[in-house]
Amino acid sequence: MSMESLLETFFAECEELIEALSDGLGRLAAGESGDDLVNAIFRAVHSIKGAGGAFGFEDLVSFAHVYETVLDRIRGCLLAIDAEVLRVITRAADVLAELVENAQNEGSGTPSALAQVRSALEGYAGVAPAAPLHEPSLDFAPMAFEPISFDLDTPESGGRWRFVPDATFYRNGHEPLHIFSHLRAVGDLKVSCDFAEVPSLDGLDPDGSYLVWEIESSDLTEDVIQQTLQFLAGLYELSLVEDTVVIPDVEDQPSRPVSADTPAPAKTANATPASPRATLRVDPERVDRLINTVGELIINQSVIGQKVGGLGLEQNSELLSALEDYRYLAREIQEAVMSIRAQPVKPLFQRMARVVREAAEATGKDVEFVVTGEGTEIDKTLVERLADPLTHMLRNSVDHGIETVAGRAESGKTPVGTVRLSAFHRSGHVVIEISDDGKGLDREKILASAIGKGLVPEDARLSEQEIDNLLFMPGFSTAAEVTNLSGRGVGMDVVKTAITSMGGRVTIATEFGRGTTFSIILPLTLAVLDGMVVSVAEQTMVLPISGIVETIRPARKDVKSVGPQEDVILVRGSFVPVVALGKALGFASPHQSDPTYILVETESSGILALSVDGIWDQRQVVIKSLEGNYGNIPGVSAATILGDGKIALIVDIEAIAQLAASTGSGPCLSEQGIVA
Amino acid sequence: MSLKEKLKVMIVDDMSVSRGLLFQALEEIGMKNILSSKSGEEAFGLLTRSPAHLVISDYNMPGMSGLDLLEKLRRNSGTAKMGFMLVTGTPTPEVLERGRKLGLNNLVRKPFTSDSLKTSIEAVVGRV
Amino acid sequence: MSNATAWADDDVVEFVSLTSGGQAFCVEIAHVREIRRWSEVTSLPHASPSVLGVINLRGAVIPIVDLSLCLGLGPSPSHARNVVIVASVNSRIFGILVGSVSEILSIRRDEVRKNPTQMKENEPNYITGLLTVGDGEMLRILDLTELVIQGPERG
Repeated sequence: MSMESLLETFFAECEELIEALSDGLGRLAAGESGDDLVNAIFRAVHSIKGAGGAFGFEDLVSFAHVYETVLDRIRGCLLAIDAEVLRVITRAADVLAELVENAQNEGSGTPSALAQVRSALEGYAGVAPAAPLHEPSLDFAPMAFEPISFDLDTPESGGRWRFVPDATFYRNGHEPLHIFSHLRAVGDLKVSCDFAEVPSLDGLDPDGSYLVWEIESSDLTEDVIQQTLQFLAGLYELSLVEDTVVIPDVEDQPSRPVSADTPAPAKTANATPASPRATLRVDPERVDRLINTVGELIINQSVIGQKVGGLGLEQNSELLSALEDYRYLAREIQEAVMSIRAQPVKPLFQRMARVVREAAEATGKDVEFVVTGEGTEIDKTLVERLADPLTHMLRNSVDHGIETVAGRAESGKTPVGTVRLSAFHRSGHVVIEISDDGKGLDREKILASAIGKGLVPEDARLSEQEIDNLLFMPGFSTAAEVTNLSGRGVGMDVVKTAITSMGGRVTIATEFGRGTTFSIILPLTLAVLDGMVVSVAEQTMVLPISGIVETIRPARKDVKSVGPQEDVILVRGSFVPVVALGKALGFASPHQSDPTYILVETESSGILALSVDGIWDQRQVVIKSLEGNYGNIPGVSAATILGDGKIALIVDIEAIAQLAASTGSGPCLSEQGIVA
Repeated sequence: MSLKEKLKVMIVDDMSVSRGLLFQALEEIGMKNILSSKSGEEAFGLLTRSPAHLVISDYNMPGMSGLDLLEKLRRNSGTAKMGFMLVTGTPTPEVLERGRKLGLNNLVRKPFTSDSLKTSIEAVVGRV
Repeated sequence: MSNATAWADDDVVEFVSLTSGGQAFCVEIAHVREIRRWSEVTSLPHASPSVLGVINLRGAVIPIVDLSLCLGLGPSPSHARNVVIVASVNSRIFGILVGSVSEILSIRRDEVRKNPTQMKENEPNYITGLLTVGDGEMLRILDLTELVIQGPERG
């Protein structure tokens, strides 16, 4: 292992430890208590300090040392946890996390809260503890430990085991006596037989196995025995008999009783400890490769399916049922592989708790941060890319959304503002909401500001939604005075761009005086999609099922013309505007003689009816990006490869709605949304 | 075969970084026969099946601590005589006392270097 | 090239010679991943006319550009008889439809001549240099970086 890869491991491990730390602190804050909890918190800080020292991160180690000292006092019941202590140790976790980040980024910056939190910690630590990095700790006399040498000729082996053959062992004609002579050829062996399990004659199954053999050896090891008896694998159990060795003078030590009479169950020896979260670190490129290959497998499976389907075999033929197994297995693998990349948003949300605390501190506001749905899983790559947009949006919520304590009192609100961060799944998407109970958007001010900046013409008449969306325009900033928190030159337009690049959207809901909610709607995963295969203008295309409400073939009289190129369909009493998909995509489509209509739901335009030439199939497709080798195509989100190896484009329903609105080929949508 | 090539060492630490650092240092010293495990429970299981000459264990681990592991090893006849070194940053008098009673062979102070580790090992097995 | 081995590696550049719109060109072999027969494409909406569509290259979606159209030499007459050069530039992979591919040339670097005829100012300059081969025929060296930036994205 090279030093770099160790360092990489260190930072990955720190991330886990900081997660465990904020987890523990969260549980403390929620009123839980107990030695285990405090111990876990202590251990997280201690481990960061320990490994940090090895890499010479002095700032990190010296802060962790003070932090750990305070936690140790709490652990030893020398310091009781009150609200203030809890606040300090929670802030300390933030500072520690920031120090780790600094170390990782090789930044020299000092966390702004470092000095303050450190002195608060030192207050609780009693005396200011010495930095432990170079000088030996002053906590105890110089190492008062006399090394004890030991005999290297210690037998490296030997022990006592219980050998329990099962009934099959005897049924297969094996004979314990032969087995033991086999072992004697390898090492020294003493054998005794335990008859305790043998039932009385009336309960005896003549084919059963009741004898237990105890074997003792001075030079065999378990591995050697298992190896020698390889040919019997599965026919016997071998378990170590733990002996008690009396250790003098340990009565005063809390010790676990070890019983010599009851043999340990066979599995004790290799039982894995219950660890809170065992993880495997894998190079993401390998996972990507796996996901791609599995994608190919799914395509290959459908190619074979199609070919075999064309053979006209009988329904119950062996080939078809084998093919069905193949399909099932391929799906299983696909699901398993996809779940490798799925990750709960929890660590991200924990980082955001830090962001909110810092923002509250910087603005002097009282903010309660409420998180829900932190177990919601999304693609790992999305988790990482969400950090910056969320940070910005949460800072905004605290800075611009939540009022000052005085301001809240004036509006008759509770002094503590609430910022909520939640994640949940909704119809094939992940939704992340950032909401506050602050003052809401002031649309008059926003519009005036946009006009003042020349972003919209003076006589513009905008809908409420359009005004809200002005926030996302480049060059827009609402803060009357630039605060040191949000006014860092990053606008909401950057947020929107970041979300869009992930295939997501942002929407705003606000009520003046009551608060604002930003919703980020993201695709569940970047790799697979349930789609409906349709034909449009002699092309095969895929519509994501997630956006489809239903497919209809209306009676001719229900399709009504409202303009030269504009149709609506009467669906259960309401008119739904029609968008010709081929036309919206710019394909010269011959007149559709008998189109099928697919009702889709869009964020910006509500329900639309997309007209297509025909519907072929409904299936899961593997998403292939077009951007890498080509670029962005309006109205198309990606491509996929169909069973025959041909490429089909995947339609971006939301973008189609916007294209239709902007080109006027569809319904008049000027009241709805701004085309970005 | 020289001693350092013969010596079979088991590293026990819950942090993979620390395992890596110990591994690196031991390799630098010239050890060839190094095993590692990530908890006392796992180490005990491995050591009962295939013993080592020397165990180098972290003190602070979730579940079974380094000293708990030492006690368990000492109480089991097949593993009772193994060499055992405890890795710790700031050993408290209680830790030292319990270690002494359990026949702890030596301490390794954190942070360690391959030289300091070598010194600690040589203090108990002789020149490697 | 019999005397190619006598040159230092650094001094030699290898080119693939090709025809497009009835004229002779060549591209640096370092950019060429493979040469394949034409296969049916899937058209792309809102694409420039020179982008014929995309094909499935062993699971990857790659665009196919008609070189002849890109160079203003009119559309390639019959796709089916033409050849696609799969090229990789700046980690982007794309196919170029050409008339035919003839041979691989090893050329000493100092034999590559600058293109003296600068094209019209606002026109993308695909031709970065000129080569003369054995019988005095002139080959134009195509800059695929220019092509991939100007070509597929222009639409």
